[in-house]
Amino acid sequence: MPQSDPSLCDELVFSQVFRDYAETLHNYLYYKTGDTDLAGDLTQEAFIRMWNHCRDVGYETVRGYVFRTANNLLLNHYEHQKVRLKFNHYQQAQNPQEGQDPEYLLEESELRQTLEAAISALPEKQRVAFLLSRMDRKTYHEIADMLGISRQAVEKRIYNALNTLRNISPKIR
Amino acid sequence: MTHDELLHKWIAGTLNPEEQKEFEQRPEYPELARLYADTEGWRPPTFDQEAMLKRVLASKQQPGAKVRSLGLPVWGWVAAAASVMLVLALWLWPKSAQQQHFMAGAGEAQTVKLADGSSAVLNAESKLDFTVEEGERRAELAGEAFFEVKKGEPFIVSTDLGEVRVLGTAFNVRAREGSIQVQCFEGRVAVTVEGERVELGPGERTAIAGTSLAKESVEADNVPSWQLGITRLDGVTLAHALAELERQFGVTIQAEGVNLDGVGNYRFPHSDLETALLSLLGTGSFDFRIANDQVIISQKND
Repeated sequence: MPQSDPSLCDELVFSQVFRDYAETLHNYLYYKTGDTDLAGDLTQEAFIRMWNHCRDVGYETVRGYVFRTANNLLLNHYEHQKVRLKFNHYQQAQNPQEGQDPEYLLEESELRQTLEAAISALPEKQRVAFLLSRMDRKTYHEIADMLGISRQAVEKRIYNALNTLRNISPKIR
Repeated sequence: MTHDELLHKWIAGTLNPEEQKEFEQRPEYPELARLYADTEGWRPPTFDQEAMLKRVLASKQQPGAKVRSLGLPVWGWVAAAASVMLVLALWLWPKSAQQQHFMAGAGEAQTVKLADGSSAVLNAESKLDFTVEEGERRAELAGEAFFEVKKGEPFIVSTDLGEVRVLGTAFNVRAREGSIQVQCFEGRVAVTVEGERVELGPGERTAIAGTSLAKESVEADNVPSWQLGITRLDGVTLAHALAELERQFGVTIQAEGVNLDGVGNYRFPHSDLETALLSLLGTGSFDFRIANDQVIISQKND
């Protein structure tokens, strides 16, 4: 029997698929709900379902499958509450003079908090599309595929998010 | 700001040099560049991917096996019935069977084995209730303990003040004198206090400071110092340090009319009481007297 696609029931193939998509799925759920525990639980559950139905899921459709499953699971949990996102801030190569100035550091942390609040306050669809692009460096095509929407819709959401956010950074300086 | 191809190419990083120049002339460019610079290096909270993968893979015994509802041979029905009974038995098993209670008295540390294979060392005068529930392991702690957690279901240490959540790691939780301090030695832990959340990696420590959780890096030993016979408390009052000394030696301290509010970094060995008291009190401004299980501290007269 000729077999063109790798089988998802193969533990190695499945592990690779998991490593490819688990982080993005987790982050997507976090951007949506602001709840990292829930994001972890649903990511795990979505992959458990895929593993247990590995014969029914085509290799080409895995991304759509886990995102759809997680979204369905989310419907059971979801209460619309205020989302408050927090990010880990990794230091980049620092400007040596700026780095030592306590006033500068204070401003930095205020700026971050203001930006985090502004991002959290974006409408959900804009927020998710913007963060998948900005934080996870996903292309419009990938985001469209994950969210099950058109490329144009992704562009529009990101454009709207940027229009709101671009005023924030300069304002608090 | 116009909604067009240049903007999206800029986001994707695919502008050619001429397009880049053109885009930089736009009035909104400085704001956008600022926004992207300000969010550079931001990442969402992390989780233990490999541990999750293990749990997912373990969720099924036979890869690809489908649930069959009909056509089982007779022995199959018997086996199915037996497994249903087994599942029911586990389901109906009283929760208390999965509960463990541990206590360490004054002046003793106790190593305990938890039902899930994890272990904990309880510091003096500490209490731990451990429960394995569906989908999570929960340890209720009053006092201080060092944990080495086996990988598996989420492991949660809850205290009066907040929660520590992990997947498999080694860390120390101190919940005493109305404060909480968590130090991570291995893996990653997430500490939640009143809705605020901080993630720690190896060599990082957090404590309630004012109203928020501050994170700091500390010298990374393999185990907390109290396990090596030394108490180290940073940024606490002398009263706080003396309360810990009471626990370690099982003594009562009387210090009427003595100012114990001085904040500092305190250390004392667990080997003998007099040395410990000297380490905390110094020889400058306090006198002390030991009588049986009592220690009386007084202010030195000049």
